[in-house]
Amino acid sequence: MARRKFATLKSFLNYIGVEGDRTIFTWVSASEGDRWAQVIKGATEKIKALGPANKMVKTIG
Amino acid sequence: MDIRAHGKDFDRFVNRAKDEYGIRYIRSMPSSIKELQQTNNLLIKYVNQDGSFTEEEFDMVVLSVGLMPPKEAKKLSASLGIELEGHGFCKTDLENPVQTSRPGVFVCGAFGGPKDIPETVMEASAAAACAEGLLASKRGTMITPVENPAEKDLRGQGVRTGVFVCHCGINIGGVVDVPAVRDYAATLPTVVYSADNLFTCSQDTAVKMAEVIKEKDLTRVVVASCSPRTHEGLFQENCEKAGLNRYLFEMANIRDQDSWVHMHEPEAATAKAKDLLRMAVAKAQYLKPLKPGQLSVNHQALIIGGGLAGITAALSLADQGFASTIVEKEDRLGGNYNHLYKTLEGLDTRAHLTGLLEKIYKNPLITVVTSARIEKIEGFIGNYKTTVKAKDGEKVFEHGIVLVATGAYENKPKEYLYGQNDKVKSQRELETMIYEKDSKLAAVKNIVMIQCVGSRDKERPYCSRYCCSEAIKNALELKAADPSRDITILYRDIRTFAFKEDYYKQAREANIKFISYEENRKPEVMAAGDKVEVKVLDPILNETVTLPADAVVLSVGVVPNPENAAIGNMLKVPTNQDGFFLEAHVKLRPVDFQTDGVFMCGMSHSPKFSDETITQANAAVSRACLVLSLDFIEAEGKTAYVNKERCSACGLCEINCPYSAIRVNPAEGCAEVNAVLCKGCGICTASCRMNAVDLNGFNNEEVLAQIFNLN
Amino acid sequence: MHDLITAHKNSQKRVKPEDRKKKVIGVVARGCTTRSLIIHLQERQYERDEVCIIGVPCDGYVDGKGLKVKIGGADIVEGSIDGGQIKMKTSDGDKTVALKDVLADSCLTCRFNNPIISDIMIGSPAPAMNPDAEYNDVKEFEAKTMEERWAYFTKEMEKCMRCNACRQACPSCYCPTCFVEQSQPQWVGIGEDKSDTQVFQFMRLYHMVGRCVDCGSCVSVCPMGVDLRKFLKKIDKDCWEMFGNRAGSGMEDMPPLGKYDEHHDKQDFIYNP
Repeated sequence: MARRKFATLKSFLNYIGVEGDRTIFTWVSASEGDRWAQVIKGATEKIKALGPANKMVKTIG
Repeated sequence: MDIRAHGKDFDRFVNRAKDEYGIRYIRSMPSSIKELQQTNNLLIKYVNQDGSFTEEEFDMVVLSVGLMPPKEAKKLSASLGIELEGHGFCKTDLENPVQTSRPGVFVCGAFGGPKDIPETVMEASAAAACAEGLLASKRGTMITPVENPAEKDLRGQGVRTGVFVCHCGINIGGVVDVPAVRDYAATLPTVVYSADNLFTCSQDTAVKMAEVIKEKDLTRVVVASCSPRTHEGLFQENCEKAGLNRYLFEMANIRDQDSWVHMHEPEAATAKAKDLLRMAVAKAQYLKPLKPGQLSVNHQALIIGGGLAGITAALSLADQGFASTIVEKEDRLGGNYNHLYKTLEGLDTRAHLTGLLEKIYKNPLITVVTSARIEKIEGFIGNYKTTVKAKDGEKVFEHGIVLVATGAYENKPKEYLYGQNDKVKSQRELETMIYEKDSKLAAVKNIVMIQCVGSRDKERPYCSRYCCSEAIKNALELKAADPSRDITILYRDIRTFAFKEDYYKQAREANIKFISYEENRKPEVMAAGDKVEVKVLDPILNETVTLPADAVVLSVGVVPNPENAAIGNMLKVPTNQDGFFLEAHVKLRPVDFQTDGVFMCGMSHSPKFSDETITQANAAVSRACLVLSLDFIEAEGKTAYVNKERCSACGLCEINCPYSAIRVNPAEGCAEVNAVLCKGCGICTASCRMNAVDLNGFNNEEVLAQIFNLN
Repeated sequence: MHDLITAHKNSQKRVKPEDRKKKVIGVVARGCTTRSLIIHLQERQYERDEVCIIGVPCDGYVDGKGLKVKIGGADIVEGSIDGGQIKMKTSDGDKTVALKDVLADSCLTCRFNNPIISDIMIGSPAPAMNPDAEYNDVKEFEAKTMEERWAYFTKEMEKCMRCNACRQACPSCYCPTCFVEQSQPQWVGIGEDKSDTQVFQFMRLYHMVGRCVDCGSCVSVCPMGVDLRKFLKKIDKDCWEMFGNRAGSGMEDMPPLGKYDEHHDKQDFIYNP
């Protein structure tokens, strides 16, 4: 079940020191266009506030 | 002043509204609504049950307004030659609520009387079934099969992508710079052709697309246009016409998800269109030609339960030319309908049942097995095999669909001296006495009826729907036979919805008394010599009254068939918290299960009236015939598949699959997908630790290609 | 257990289905072993009648590495248990150590030191360990700052040399092809890149949701002494606090990732703008 996977993933990421807010999970129905836009705007703001990810990121070259 | 929550699970909503959300329900009659000058708020003045007045201020008032017959009803009825009933809605047949007064003309939905969504949907399907019954002999006579050229052999071919960018008139072209997107497409890897069209869905573009596929030897087609929901199928057909497998097609939605939502930012919209297209092209290179399997369909039906629902369904199936087997647990057909004599509206149900049974036994397409139990059900849509244990041994039936009509039982109450004092009876027992002309009834002068016995309480929080009407039906009958009788109905809410309200009114006019009681202040029934007494708090007098009675009649409601869970288990379909079967969608798919090929009707679904059961049975048949009328079921291509080498048969996918489409094969030691049942939802894919399950059309490589090409 | 049954099943693959034989394997099982067997049975790796469980109560296992540290790194030649003491002949002369000082961490706070299921029981039930303290470490770690936690995680993961011993020892790690070895797509690099190691360990740990029985195998086999238990215990704690599930603690349980509870599951992970 996705919800349980995400609940544990988010918590575990947070535990090892990766900001849990980088994982965002919610439900949006196909009929909720407005909510979809809000979710994406909100998520983008959150991520921008956290800055670029540098944990568990592979740098090539 | 009644809360009419008689739909399936509605009382649960009322309880949740009260308990979880703190919504107040006030039994009252609002006498006026005034707008307050300073705040513009609304002041409601209402009369409480005890006669006192309350004034309360609200920000908003929402009115529940009810339904009226359409204005054009009279004109329509005249031109169609159908009759209207007293209120101006369409008059319907008592034996078949979708039948109008004119043969061959059917009615469904609120034109036949006010009703809720599930009943409307059921009626629509039922009307379709009745119409199909008349047209059955012509089925399939007007179909021209499509001939497609042989598929191109792609072995050894590289990826050659063709891109078609659509203006969609001005829908896309008015915002997005389509020629720029087209030119950008040409620069993407694998793209060998790109073009823009005013309408990619037009006939001439379809012809052009087919030509280009051949001419440029395309092995992938990407269309950037509207929504795959409406147009994917059409574009896939275009590919097939040119000999390209339909699953080598990919779509970028640059209208709904781009030009429409970003219509005020044309430049950003153009950039986004390029992004979406780049992702689609990247994904397309990983697409695989799929050949969805076909499955043959057995044209017979298995009906579990031979009550009114089961026999109606069998007859309706036979009308459409399909054979069925009814498996009935008892030694005779009819179920609860055997105990009914008349409906509130006056249908002689005895005669009706006799007529139905006569038709059943005469019909060569219908097999009846009574005193039988289902032992085992194997298989899936189109190909079931069921073992039935009957008196004369085990029988195996092969069939293409299953119709669940397991019905429900009358509740056996433990309250109000039922079973201890012979003055206390159930409504069903009273009905039998009335119509069997029991001589004891003559001396019964004072009657108290108690509603909601064993219903709408902690143990059974649902409404049994028909009991209010049943009580009023019997009360009216008793009163008509002897007007000197004193009848009191103790109720919590009278739920005589739609036209049944006429009979409630009639009952009040006939001086049948109604006293309401609250769940936490139930009436008390006590023996008093050769009579019984009922004590109840009369909320209008605000004092306890004692009613002497020659008979106390209980409306006992229904309990689901206790075997539902076991049958559900065999079919891998769920029951709800109360033990009734759970439909695929409570509003829009009231006879379907999530699992294809299994349908339900009658009281196995929820408590209901006999005419509603007839409608639902016809509806289930209509849905079932969509399967039965096919020779083959085509699987959808975008289904899950298992990489056997990676699978350890842990079974998590099987537990999680809502459609019973994936199962562990213990002999092979891996999971297997039934592509016909699979809906491609991806739950198994997400649940698999070992990445053994993946989804055609959305597999890991395809999705990652999209993600990596985001920017 | 899993290896033996899988080997047998593979050998039976060449046999006609009707001629295939079941093999019953006896297993001497302490509490955590039975939890592991329950996980296998829930995940249908074999049938209950393919395994005969000889249950033994458990007073804890000696942590070999800890013992060696305790006796100053000497080689043990011979040893015996006498009451609460371990008496040893070592390269550095005779030594005696108190048993309770060298038990494995997972044993000290074990909640299930008596078998949960068994066909035959040997011995009388072992006294309870100290399960109330099982999450103390995790709670302490949770209280640290984000950057402290990340620093600890990276420090521990830097020790890892990707020898896969933890994976081989883990009773719940039995995927036919581990995600590490999968290609098309390749999920994680096989080189020495730090992030690859972190991703490998993170994913392996995360695959233990509802499946880690705290047997301590991964910790005891790790040649680099990576503090894996610090992270596994968190997963165990979450699973208990969020879903009321303790891995392998009952035959009737469903895998926690195979269901959800509409009324009791927490909703706070769901994003609402």
